[in-house]
Amino acid sequence: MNKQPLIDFQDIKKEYKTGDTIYQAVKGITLQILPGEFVAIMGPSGSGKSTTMHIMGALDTPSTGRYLLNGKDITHYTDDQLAHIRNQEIGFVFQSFNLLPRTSVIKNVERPMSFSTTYPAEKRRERAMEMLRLVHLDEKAENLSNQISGGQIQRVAIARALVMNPSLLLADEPTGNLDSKTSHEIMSFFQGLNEQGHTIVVITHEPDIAGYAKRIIQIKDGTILTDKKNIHITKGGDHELR
Amino acid sequence: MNYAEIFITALQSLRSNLLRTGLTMLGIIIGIFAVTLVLIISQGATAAITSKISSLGTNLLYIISTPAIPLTLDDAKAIVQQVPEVDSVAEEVTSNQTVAANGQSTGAAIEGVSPSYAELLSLTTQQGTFFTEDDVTGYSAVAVVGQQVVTDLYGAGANPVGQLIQIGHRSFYIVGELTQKGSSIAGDPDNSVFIPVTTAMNTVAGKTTLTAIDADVKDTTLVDVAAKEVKQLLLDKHNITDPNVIKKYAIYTSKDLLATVGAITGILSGVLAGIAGISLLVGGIGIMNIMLVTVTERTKEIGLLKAIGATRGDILTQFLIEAVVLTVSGGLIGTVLGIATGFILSTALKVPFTLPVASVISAVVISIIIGLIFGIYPAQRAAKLSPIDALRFE
Repeated sequence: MNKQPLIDFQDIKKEYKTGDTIYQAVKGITLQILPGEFVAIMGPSGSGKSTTMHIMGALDTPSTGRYLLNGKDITHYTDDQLAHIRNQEIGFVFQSFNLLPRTSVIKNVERPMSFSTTYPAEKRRERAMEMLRLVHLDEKAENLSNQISGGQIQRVAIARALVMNPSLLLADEPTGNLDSKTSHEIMSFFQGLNEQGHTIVVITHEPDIAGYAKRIIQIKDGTILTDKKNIHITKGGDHELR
Repeated sequence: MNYAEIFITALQSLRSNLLRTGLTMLGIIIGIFAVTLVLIISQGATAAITSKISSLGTNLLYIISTPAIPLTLDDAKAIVQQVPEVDSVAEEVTSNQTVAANGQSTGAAIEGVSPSYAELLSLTTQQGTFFTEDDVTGYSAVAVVGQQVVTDLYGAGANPVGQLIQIGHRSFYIVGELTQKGSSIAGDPDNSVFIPVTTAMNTVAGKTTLTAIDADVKDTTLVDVAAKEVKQLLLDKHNITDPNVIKKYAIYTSKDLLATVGAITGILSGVLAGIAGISLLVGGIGIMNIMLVTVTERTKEIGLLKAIGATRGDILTQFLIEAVVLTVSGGLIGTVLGIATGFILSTALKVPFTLPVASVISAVVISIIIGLIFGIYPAQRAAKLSPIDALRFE
């Protein structure tokens, strides 16, 4: 028996209206991602990869088509239902503006838990510390978000993305603002998380970054150009973060 | 997300831009400050005036001489004889004159009265005695002087009894000095010279009519009945058929006075409260303006919060509480400033100071309401933002 796909896109289309003109950002994408995969979605800007990522991350809904996440059809969910899905099922790492300003590292990691009842208030700090230890930033827990480096910000974002134990880790250009050494560290860490069973989707336009994934999907003009297994996976080494 | 957390987040974000927070609160601070101050001062003033009126007794009837019905000594006699509810009357002839003695002179109210006036208004003497009924019937040139007059003419603490005092062109023999009383609705006895009513009409004021008659009614409950009877008596006595000749204000009671004072202070407070209300409205609009700016500035933050699971309600609550924290802090600062200023002003104006508990509560409630009213629109704007638009915002 086949495993149930975690992500099941069935002929997803997305149109935007600007005045009288209708712009088709996604022109029919069908794809499945199974639990435990590490997928890179590639494409130049304007290819529709961002829109794809928004729909995949339950930040937006498709104009037509069906989207099954973990077997649930969330195509027509309301705003608040989608908010709940994002909270429970998806962990986001963005390119920039990942952390709340004027807020400590640990409070940032605790924040998703405040939108659900999964963790009672008194357990939240402990859980957040656990995640910070995972990304080796437990010593920076009380620092404010503007007192840590770019690489550390991305690691805090990963800690926060994992705190609700989501089924999907969705990273949108996670290394876009980092130097190559730090980028390597972050991507290696993703590899390590994937080896522990986390499903990871990384959106990028850089082939170097996509090279860390096991599967690479190329999107162009709103459709899938290629969808291949990556046969030359970049080895991330010991996945240790410093 | 629990309210304590939202509250802390709200405080943090308000603290992050203290200057703006302070300036935004200013409108509310001034509005609540004005409301509190107005309440304290009007309460104090009302209490002061009310206590002065009440100190005269609530069973007094004031009958004022008008051109249509010029009151005479005869009228006063008739009232006490023919109106059974009236115990006694005190006649009054008032004029302002320069008085001189001891080489000094000063302006004073010359009150031509009968001895019953002193009883009615509880005037007592600290030196000598009040003149008697015999002095009234005998047109005596005797005077009882108030403390201020004594101080002006003889210096503080001097005993004027036995001295002569010049009123107009006549000399009066001082028989008594009043105990200090303080001014009241019935005048300022400290700055008055009391002489027999007959002497006053004859020589000093040069009038044949009284200024007013004060009637002492047996019981407070009979005041209205007595007023009606006095009116009828005066109409009959002066052969007047049209009852409207005696105007509303010609015969009035303590109750009427209290009602008038209440109406005046009510109008004043209303006007001032209206001004304060406008200030609060302007303050509220300022809050709305700044909250809208804040929402725009924090669009990315809102996008991020939505991405990690915040619902519309979560965002709405967050921004509403921020607005309410802003207005309530402003309201509390305004209340404290208002009470402090109210205390200082009350002391300076010598009116009683009462801590306006009701105004503190209403200030907080008004602040919350303003925060909710003017915070709801910006908060809704924030809540309705789509997460992708918010995240893309530059």
